[in-house]
Amino acid sequence: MTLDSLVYPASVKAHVVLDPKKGIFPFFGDLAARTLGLDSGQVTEALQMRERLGSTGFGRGIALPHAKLDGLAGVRGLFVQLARPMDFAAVDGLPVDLFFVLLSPLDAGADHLKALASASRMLRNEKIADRLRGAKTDEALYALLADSEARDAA
Amino acid sequence: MTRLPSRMMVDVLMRSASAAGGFATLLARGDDHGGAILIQCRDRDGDGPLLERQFDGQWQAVGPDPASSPADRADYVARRRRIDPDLWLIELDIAQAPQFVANLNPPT
Repeated sequence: MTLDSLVYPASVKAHVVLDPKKGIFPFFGDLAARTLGLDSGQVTEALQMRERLGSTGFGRGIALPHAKLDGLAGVRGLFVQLARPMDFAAVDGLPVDLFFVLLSPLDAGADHLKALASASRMLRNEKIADRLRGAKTDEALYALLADSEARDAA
Repeated sequence: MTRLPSRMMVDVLMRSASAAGGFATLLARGDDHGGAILIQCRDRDGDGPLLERQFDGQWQAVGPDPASSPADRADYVARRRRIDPDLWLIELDIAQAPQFVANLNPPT
């Protein structure tokens, strides 16, 4: 599975500065609403609910928030690179700046799992994570996700 | 030897993997208390064995031979998930994964 097949160019955001009053989950919700036509509040709530069960921050500044939602035709991703890493209660305690957000239809059991594993494989590759951190624009970030090396890693 | 509740065991596994410089990604959450725990090992060289916690708390390789095709392994995991919604599934990326896992809860 290639990650660029899950992510629309518009769903990739570089150098994001969060509104301190809103936090990151509403940001994901708004991005999903704009680019996937989903309900912002529903996405926000579903991602927060999953996060409460245990942080999806799996180390070295990377997190994979995910949720299953009604009204999706297939598994979809958002990719967000923060300008400044934030505390995310990650397993290693390090702040997080790279987020691959996975949104799946309610019945997408195997595809959801495959996408999670692919995203994790790509992002735990140090070279790829470094490059993603270095990307300055949305376009550059998207191009890296679609890069052949990123595809191989996933 | 003690057998930790599943959620606690998974937590130990994830923190230990991270502390040892590896990665553990929780792919599917299972039942907090008695859910079976299945680990799919996968490092930069590709797929490794599938490890499952036994009733005595020890870990054992399960499923198709690691040398068989990735599709066989994926089939096995999908089948296990289908028949057991309480199953925890974790992808573990760490050097010498079977030894690492065996040392998580050494026999007392």
